[in-house]
Amino acid sequence: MRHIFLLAVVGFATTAPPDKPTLGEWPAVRPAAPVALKPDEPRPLSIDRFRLFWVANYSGTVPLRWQATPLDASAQLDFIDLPNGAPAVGILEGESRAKAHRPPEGVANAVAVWGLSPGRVLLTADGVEEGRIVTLVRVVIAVGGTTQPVPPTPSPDPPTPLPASLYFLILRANGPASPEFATVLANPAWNDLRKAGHIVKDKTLGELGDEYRVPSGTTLPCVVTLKRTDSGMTVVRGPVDLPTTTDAIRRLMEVQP
Amino acid sequence: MTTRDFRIPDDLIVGPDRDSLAALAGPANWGIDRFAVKVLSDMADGFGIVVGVIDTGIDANHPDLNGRVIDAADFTGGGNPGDRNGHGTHCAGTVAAGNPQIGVAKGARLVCGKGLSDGGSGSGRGIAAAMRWCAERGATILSLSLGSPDPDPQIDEGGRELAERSIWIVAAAGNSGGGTPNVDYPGRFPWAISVAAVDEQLRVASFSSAGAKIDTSAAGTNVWSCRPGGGYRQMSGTSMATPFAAGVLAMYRSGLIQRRRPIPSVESLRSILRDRSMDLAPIGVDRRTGPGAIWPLLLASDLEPDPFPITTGVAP
Repeated sequence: MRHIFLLAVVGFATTAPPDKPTLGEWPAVRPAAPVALKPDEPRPLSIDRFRLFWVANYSGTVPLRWQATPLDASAQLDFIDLPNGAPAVGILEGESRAKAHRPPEGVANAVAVWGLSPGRVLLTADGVEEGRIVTLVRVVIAVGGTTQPVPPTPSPDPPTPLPASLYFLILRANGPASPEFATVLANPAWNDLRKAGHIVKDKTLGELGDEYRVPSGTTLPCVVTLKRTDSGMTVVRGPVDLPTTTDAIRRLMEVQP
Repeated sequence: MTTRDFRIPDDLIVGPDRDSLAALAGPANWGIDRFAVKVLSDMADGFGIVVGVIDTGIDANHPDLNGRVIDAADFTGGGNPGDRNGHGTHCAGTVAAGNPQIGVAKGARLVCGKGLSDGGSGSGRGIAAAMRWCAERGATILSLSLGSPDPDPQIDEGGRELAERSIWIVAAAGNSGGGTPNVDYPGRFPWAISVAAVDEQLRVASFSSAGAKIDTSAAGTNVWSCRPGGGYRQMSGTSMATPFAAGVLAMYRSGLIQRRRPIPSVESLRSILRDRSMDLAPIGVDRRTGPGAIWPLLLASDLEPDPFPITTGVAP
């Protein structure tokens, strides 16, 4: 019966819709905290000092993930996630950094950030809302105490699409892949194609559907090369045998659209 | 209910425990290397996914699990979700331990429903309650390293209900060897993905149960993972293969979400696994390894964008 009771509590534990996630920080730049995020206002952070940031009003079931992206080559900071409700100890070199930090009472989803070398760093917190991964907050940290406003920084995602991308569609028979095929697909040369801005994907004939009909007499596995145009995908090279060597894989890029 | 119908399979503890894995060459969980997990984890490491582990509880304070466990609860009547058996902590570590030598899906988080007692057995009622509780806590993948030759209606009802919400339930095939007529329940239920075990040479493990219902295979021999109280233990069994598969699926599901792709139903997932496994001997879909080994490289390829529709025909 106890188990049933617990489940009932979960089932009826409804709350009002949560407010939009907002960034909190300590010590606060301004007296009021949490403050609404303004990504174009960098938060100053002295070298060898720490600052706590947290996200208020986050109601996702998955803990946040903090990420730091240097905006200047020289910029460097260190950070640790602070588990909800648990004291966290940040230990870095030097007397001023060997401190124990506890998030303020009632604060969850916190991160402790230390300044290491001057420059700007973009700190983001990703979470999950309604089954989708979203960036909840962004804040620019000016390590070294810079207080001058900086221009708004472009979002690091989505990545900028590379031009002139080809699409290498690898077709194979239905069912599990053979070890030989898996070995070929694991060749790092495919990543050379990806690094050049192209897309590589394998499909079985069953996954292919009706959009593309493999010419009769084609030996599987094979590679079909397509090119992205304004109106969709165009086949620029029909099926060729799946290359098995590094050089042959790289030569797939030698196609004249 | 006082019956104890479901048990952890007869998994084997291999050799003495270790306090540290530092002396080992390469990942302690050999499957991380052999299955090339990194190919998939570079695209999606499981972030955003909660995996529910229904087992003998968990030591959430293990250094490699600290911060990974969102919640844990007991459904055996003991009142404490702690793990005095070791099986649950081992399985949970394989899913998402922070130690890169151990955990498969480093971005995933865990909820743990203790559905098996410290002795390793539990009732269908308790296990079904643990499954539902994990789902209430956000789990969209459940890892069940447990089994019985007989079906349980409460687990069946709970599993069907969760599968209808596209929650993927991964279960151990069993450790009864190749002479078995089919895999254990709950793995034999249609809503479950049942997992066989393979060894370092990607051969089916001798203990791994046979049957037409095997949906995939994963690393299940000599697997190092977390031990309650700290340190590490090496174990063999389809129990070990199951959280490995759950971790790979957590990364795949995370990748689907990041790319705003629809989440496949369990039936669709079974079809995906059939096409995106690496075939193992014997050739083709078979009664020992099903379609073969769950293969992160092939699942990663599936996360690449789709090209179609094509607007023109084949070029000359």
